[in-house]
Amino acid sequence: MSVGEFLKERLAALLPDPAEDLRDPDYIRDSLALGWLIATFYFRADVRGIENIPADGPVLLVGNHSGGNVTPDSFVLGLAFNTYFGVERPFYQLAHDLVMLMPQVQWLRRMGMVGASPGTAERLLDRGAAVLVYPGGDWEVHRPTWKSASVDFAGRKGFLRLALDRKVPIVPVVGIGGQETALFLSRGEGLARFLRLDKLLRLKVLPISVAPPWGLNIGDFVGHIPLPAKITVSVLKPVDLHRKFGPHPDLEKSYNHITRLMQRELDRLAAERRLPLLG
Amino acid sequence: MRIEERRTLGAAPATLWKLIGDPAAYPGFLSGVTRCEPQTKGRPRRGARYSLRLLVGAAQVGGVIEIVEFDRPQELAWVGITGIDQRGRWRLRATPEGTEVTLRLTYSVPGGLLGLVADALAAPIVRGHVQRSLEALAELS
Repeated sequence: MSVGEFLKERLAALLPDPAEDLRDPDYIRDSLALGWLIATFYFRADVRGIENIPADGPVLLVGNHSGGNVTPDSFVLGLAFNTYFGVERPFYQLAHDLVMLMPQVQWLRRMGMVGASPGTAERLLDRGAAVLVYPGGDWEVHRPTWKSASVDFAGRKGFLRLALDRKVPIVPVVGIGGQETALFLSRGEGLARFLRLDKLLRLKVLPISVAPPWGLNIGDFVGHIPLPAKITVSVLKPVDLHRKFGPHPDLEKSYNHITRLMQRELDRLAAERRLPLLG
Repeated sequence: MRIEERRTLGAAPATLWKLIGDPAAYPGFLSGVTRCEPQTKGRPRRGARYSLRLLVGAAQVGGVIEIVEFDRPQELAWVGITGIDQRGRWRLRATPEGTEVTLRLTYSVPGGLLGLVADALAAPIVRGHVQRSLEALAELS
């Protein structure tokens, strides 16, 4: 066994079972106060269009992702969803394997986070849940701060196959402000390739940022303290790909349609912002 | 936390009841109410349910409420069935000048000590909504 294979095996053993459902509505309910305090007074969060999410039934929320491994946009959206629809409505967030290794993962899993392993999202949608996915994942969340206002899914189309296969609507969710919670300098994709992280951990990046309390932060493996940037999240109207593109939608056209809708909204939100951090 | 505001308005109780007695109309004049949709069929009555949301800070809080008192044209009270614990009450009392209107909201945020902190910090926001709602009611009547 090579060193790489050994490491891959050891890391796989550390990962919690991604299919295990630890979501606990009572726990989420008790966490709403803390979430509301942070979202209201620290991030001055502004969530628009939450009523665009269908009132019941399975739905795939598709977001652009920002903020490094500490993602205030998903935190703010989670609070908005749970206060608007109630903690009784099942809501799950798909996460990358690396996030499942982070110290705070137990707390996040009780809030509804599950590993993005094959079959997990399908099972949740079949149970009627709302599922949040960030197709851009590690690639998008570590983009440089000066690319804050760009949607970058890196061509990933798995979310489209999922929505089409399960015949669920896609609700695009656009957030801005997360990329101002630290100074993100580079994805470090060359470094990740050099260290073979793409092979070992499915990681395309080894991000480099300046963030409290670390100063220079390479990898962001244990997160950081986010700066208090104003977070704005806009939930768009649902998209039914079958209705829009017929019984067999073309993936490329569907991808372009969704990302174009999101980019247009992100441009609008970016135009509203006057100052970094303050919004 | 209990928030209560009182105003004397020039209109008669029956006139004000046309607005207050129909929760579905609340988004039109209740400050911060983004949604109040009937969940039961028929006219407003005791037992009728509505899906109510109130924008407080970063979140739209609320849930399904049920009318527990419907005494035309002087008392309407509701309790929250889902979402945060809440109660609301309208009291209308005829006076020589018109009607004394009281709007009372009682709520409790779960979460122990942090819930109490959130209760207290939300209070000025909720009080502002209640005050603006009574002002809007005065204008509409």
